[in-house]
Amino acid sequence: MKNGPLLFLGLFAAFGLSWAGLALGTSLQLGSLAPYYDQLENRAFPERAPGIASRGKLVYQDLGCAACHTQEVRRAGFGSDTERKWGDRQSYARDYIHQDRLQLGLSRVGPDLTNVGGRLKTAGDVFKLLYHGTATMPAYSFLFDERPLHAEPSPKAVAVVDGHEIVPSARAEVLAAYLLNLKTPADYPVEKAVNTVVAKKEEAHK
Amino acid sequence: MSAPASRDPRNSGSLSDEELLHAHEQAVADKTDDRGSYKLLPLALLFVFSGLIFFGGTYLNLFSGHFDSKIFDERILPHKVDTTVKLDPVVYGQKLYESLCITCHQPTGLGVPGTFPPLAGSEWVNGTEERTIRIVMNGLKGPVTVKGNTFGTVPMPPVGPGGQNWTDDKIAAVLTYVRQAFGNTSGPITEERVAEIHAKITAHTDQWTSDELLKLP
Repeated sequence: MKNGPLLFLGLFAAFGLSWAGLALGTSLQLGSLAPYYDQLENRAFPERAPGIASRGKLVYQDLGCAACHTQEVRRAGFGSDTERKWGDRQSYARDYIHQDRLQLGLSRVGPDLTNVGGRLKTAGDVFKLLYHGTATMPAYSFLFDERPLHAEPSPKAVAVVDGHEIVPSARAEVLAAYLLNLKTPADYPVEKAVNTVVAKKEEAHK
Repeated sequence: MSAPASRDPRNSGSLSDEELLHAHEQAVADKTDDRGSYKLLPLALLFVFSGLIFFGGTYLNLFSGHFDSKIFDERILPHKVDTTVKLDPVVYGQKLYESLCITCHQPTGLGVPGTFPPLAGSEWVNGTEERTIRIVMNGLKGPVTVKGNTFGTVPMPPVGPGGQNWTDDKIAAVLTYVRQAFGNTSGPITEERVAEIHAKITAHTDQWTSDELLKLP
């Protein structure tokens, strides 16, 4: 092969530079982010999701929820995320350090789910949404099992249809656990201090 | 790959260099020898593009956050900020009190008559800083008189080294809280003051007795 070493060098440079720019540079910048230890709460934030929520995340990925739902809140004054009560503060890189596959989302057809655990209080709320759907969200009724009703319906039942009760399947249960665990912790002091100077300056100008 | 030298038209010798030049002159003779229709680059364009580059550079400098990893707002430039968290010692002290002291001294700070002495209005809590710090640091055993009642059936375990291993700032916070809660109105105790007493009594590992503490000024 003519100019073999040159071709190899060119390929090496192309892949090496893109790796350095995309992976190495990012890792150097953000790789050392650690959870913030809150002395008053005696806990570190963000907290790791419990096991059942991690299983729910697989269902979330499997169903393609990220096609319509994002998990990233924009800052107040940029977009209307705060007005829509999708979060009290914007999302920071530190919020995602425990997640291996980020579900940032592809488009915002549906509401942002970063803090959905704060809006939907119980698994029942999630089941109702999943079973019935909304005007813009399809019904995920295949996540529910139909079984003959003998006496009282199960407390988890979302509906009773001619002698049968509709109960959530295991997939629906873990998905609900995942969604109810989506909550942003309170503001981190470092990010808050670094990102709030502009507001003060603007006030000073007024 | 290359053709043999004898079959290469360049080596056939059918056209000498002079003949080739002559043929070329004849071919270009009837072409006008004008200078082409191009113009020089207008100088203004150079200034326009320099201006654009200057604008772009300035914009990037002002609204990129200098690509700092902690900046999530493009309007902010990197700057020095004090990011140390200042805990309110009263709030922190209350958390600490509720995590440990509350078991014996009760949420009301009144203790249990005959067993656990009260903190509310206690002359020990509101007395000299040194005595209260020593009690919390190493604990207390033996009979002790608080507000005219005698306690001492259950010794107080050490909270500092050898017991709960609370650091000086935690002891300062919990004392500051106790000295202003339950109707007490004594002043705060600083971490420096606790560290000062701590350095004095590092050799002492046993719990204090009431008499030992009363000998202190």
